[in-house]
Amino acid sequence: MNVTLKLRYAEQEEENILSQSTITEAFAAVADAAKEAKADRKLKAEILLEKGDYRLDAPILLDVEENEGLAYTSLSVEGESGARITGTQVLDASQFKKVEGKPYYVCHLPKENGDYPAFEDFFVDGVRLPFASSERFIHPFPYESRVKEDPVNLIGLFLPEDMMRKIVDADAIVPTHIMMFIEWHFKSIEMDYVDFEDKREKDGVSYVRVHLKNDYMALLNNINGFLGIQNREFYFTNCPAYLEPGTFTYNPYAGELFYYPADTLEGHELGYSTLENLITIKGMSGLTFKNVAFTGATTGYRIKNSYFSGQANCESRVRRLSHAAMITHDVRDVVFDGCAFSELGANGLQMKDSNTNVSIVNCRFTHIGMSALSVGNPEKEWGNPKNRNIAIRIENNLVEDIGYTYPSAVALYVGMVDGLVLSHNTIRKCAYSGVSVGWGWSRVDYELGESVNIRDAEISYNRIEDFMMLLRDGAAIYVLGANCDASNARRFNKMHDNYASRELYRDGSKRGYYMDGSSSNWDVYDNVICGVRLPIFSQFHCAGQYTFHNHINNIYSTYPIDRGNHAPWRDTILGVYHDEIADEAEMMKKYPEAAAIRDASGCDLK
Amino acid sequence: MAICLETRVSENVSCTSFRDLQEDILRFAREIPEGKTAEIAVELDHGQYLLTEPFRLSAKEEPSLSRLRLAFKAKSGMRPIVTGCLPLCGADFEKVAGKEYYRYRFPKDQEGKYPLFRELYVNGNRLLPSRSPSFLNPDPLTAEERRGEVKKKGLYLPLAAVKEMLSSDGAVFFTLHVEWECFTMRVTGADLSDVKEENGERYALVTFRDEFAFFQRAVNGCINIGNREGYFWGGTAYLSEGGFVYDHERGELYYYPREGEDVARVRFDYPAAETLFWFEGLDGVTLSGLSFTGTTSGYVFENGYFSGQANTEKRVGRLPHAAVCGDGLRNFTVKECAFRSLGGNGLLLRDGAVNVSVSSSLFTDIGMSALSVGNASAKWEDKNNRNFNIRVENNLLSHVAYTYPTSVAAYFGVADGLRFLHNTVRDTAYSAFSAGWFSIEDFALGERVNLRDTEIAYNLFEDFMTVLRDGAAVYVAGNNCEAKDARRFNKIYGNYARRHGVNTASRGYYLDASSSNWDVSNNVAIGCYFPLFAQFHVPSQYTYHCHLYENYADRKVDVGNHAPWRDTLLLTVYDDVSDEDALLAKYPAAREILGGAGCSLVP
Repeated sequence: MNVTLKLRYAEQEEENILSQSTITEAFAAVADAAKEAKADRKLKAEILLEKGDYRLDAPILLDVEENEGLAYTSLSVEGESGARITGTQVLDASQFKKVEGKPYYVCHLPKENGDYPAFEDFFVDGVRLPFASSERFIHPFPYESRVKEDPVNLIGLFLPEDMMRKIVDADAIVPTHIMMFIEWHFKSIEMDYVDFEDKREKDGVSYVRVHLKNDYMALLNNINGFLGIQNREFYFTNCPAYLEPGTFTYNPYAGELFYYPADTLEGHELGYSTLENLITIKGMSGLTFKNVAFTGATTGYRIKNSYFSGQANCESRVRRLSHAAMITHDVRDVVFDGCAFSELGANGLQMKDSNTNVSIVNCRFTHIGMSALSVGNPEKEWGNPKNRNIAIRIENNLVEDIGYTYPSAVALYVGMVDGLVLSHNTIRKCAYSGVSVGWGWSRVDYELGESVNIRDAEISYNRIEDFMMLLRDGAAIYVLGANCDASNARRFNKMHDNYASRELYRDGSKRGYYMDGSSSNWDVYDNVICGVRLPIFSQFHCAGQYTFHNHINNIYSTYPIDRGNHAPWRDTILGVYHDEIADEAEMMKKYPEAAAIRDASGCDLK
Repeated sequence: MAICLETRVSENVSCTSFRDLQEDILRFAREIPEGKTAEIAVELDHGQYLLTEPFRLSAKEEPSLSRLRLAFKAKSGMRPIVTGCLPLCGADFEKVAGKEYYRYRFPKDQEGKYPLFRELYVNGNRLLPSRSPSFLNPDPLTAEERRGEVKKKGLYLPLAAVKEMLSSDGAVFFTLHVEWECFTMRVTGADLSDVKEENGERYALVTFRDEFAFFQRAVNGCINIGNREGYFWGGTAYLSEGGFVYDHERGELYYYPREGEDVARVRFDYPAAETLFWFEGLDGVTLSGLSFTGTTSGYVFENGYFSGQANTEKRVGRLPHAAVCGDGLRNFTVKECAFRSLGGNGLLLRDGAVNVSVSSSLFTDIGMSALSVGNASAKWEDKNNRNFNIRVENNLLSHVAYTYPTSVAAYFGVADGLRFLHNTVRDTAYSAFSAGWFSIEDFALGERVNLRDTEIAYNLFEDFMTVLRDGAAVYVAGNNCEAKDARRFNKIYGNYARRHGVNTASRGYYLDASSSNWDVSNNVAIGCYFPLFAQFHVPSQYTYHCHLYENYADRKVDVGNHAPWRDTLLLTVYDDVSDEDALLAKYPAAREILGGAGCSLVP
């Protein structure tokens, strides 16, 4: 397995071809060569990877701020089929000891830099295993008090006594988190202890007071004040009491990894990763990654700090975590073609800060804990150049099994953008929205061009199946934010020829095509939506966020479309739609146009 | 005659002058709390309102003005005229002994200066100073002269013209037209002993004031002054019936009456203002139903004038001499106004404009540009150059730029969102319409803008390019994003352009300087040497991603416009007839374009 590096400066006739033993060395050689690059002596670097796994011991970083010559360096990384960059460290089966009286094993990991490693992804044969978790239950109580000064709100939560006894009996409460699904948020909060004397009963079920670690109860109370916790789905995770075959738990305070093999311990490749990034590139132009696979990255944040999510993969205290297989900052002229991002605990490809001329095509994103792909920041200040995304193309990608670890993470996220083509992608099985574009909820008074939220966007021919599988108040395609002053009625954003389908949910919390937060200037037409009770939602519930200049036409839905979407006085027009047939097959039969939309949607990747 | 100042919150106030009005507005603005806005409507009754100093409102000088929304409007059915003209009494003119013309001597002002003006209004008609016939300047500049390594003494100009000039009384100027540039210099004299002969004609040395040193270097490097037209103006030698000249150095105005005309009964006015209304940094200004007239530009008298492309003076940039000048305005509306007989610009918006609407207005007899929005700069990174959502619709622009012929009739700098629709533009010295600037950098659409979302449609252009060369009915310049973006987000369609008589230097629809991302369709060009021209002469400025289709012309369209390798496509074109009548007879679609083009202000 060889890494070939080709270097050529602008005026150089022949390229230097070097053979490197590791990918880390190859990147280091690029960085070295870049020190000689200048505006009039640009460097072209190519890294060619043979088939095989390239293991990283530490993240790779190329940063223009540290190495100015990188600004004048273009980099292409191309792999043969099967070339994979991974952050996993292999564990030998002999490192695991059987826990006496239990069907699972324990592995004691050594301290690194005086501390046990923080991670939450354990791989068996390259596949991330889920944390051992309980079944879900409905939390029946509201907050006891949301008055900040009221000490009662700091005490804890009442959780089912039988489950808590099971957890405590397993003598492993410390690393266990309570997972809470609260509309479009989720919380993953580490428990501290249980007070079995402090009980209450509801509907014949006994609940006991569970105290949360640190100040987490106060945090839970004080953030997202308009969201309640009553009747929301909870469960316990990273919980030895619930170890089952094919699951694991990890205690970051003791370095103890408990693993319950699905069959045998031996005969499988076992591994874990402590790398939160594999490759980070900052400030460069001219990047191409072709046919390269990324796997084996994790995040160590939640397991030690708990997690209080905001919308779209944000954490309430630290915003969006920079944990991804591949991270870029402030890049332009970038191509990801034929790459694979799979088995990643955090994000797949995260493109932060400004992005210009980015193409992400023919890529696979599978089994990813957070978002598959994020382009741009979750910010609404276009005036800050770091928030600008320009000429973004996301086309013919397969995105599958996304966000189940961090369910507020949308599968594909694009922030404020001028020029977006998001077409022919297949998105299957995602915890929350399939696509989310734009940021900001209020009306704006800027003229088109003075500032941008979403401009010249085309979201088309996408196939989105089994979306919104965990959280609420999201959609197959979710866009938000006003896009210019209301005096401009042009519809310069298009959403068309998309097909979205999922099993019908009991209420309207899972939506089809969702224009939220003063969304404006959209043409939404020729879309199919099956299995949601709000097939179209052009925000008409929140008075301060009503949409305008949106025209919706030729929608095919298996559930009636709400007439509230028709508001001509703000130029939100619900035109032709077909929503009288509840059965998808029947609808397709009656409307061949809908079947044609379905058949033309999605990517061509198998 | 009164100015009525209406405010939303207080009783109406009457003002007797614009000075009072200015003070009232400022006082009112200062009372508006931070974060609030208030509206003022200023209603002008019928009559003439004299302004010899600009009526100026600047939010930079008085920030509270940014909280004010201002409407200046004519009282219903009235046509108030804002003018910079001061009257002269014909009886004060004295006959010059031994001559047919009369002289008026201006008194010096408090600073000991005479007024500076280039036009005289005689019985309400704007006249320009009398001039010589045109002649050719024979010699180009050498490379050494351009670099300033060799200093020329002056220009050798035709001996007969020089002798006539020397016989003149008063200050004399020389103006030279060079393709799309124009130069005016102050003549100091001539040396009849320094004569040379070329091609059988004799030329004498004419010398100029110190601006001549700059002139040597000022001419654009890709053009030259040899065999280019020039003329003298300003001396009494050129006076003929109905003409005037003005010697600004001595404050003497000469008028040559028409036959039988009693000078004592002639109404003379001279413009005493360069700018009438001047707004800076305001948000929400509306002008409706007002007329503007009586302005001039005095710059040339003290500096000469060296114009580059599109009304830019090479030393000081575009002069702020306009009936209405606006710097950095937002939400600015002009409707049903008249800009007549102006020596400088009509409406001049500089340093960034957002949400501008100009509609149903008349611009006629304008010395510089009728209408300019934006600076002559491609630097989008400078906020002052950015223009957004500019809409110019249903206006008549007529007889424009004969004083400063590099001025296009309607100019637009870099703009995101530009609509120029249903206007009639006729009788212009240079291009009727120009948009964009010389952008050549690679940028992704959105990173910056030259022209984006532009629509130039349903306009009627007649008799454009009557003085200068290398312009067009519709001229656009600059690339609009990097070459890999093939979208055609700018449109030129439904326009009808015709000239009477083919001028070899005139063009119809001209995509210059790496123009890109244009759709040019369903337009007609009559009398244009190049009906369509998607730059294919200058390699560094070739166009790309421009599609030209379904266009009509009475001259053959050059196949050089067809360059598929850079996605510049000359597709369907109907150019198989040789005159307008035949074209309209053969192609009903062209007739439809003619029928749908132009404004509704003229039949």
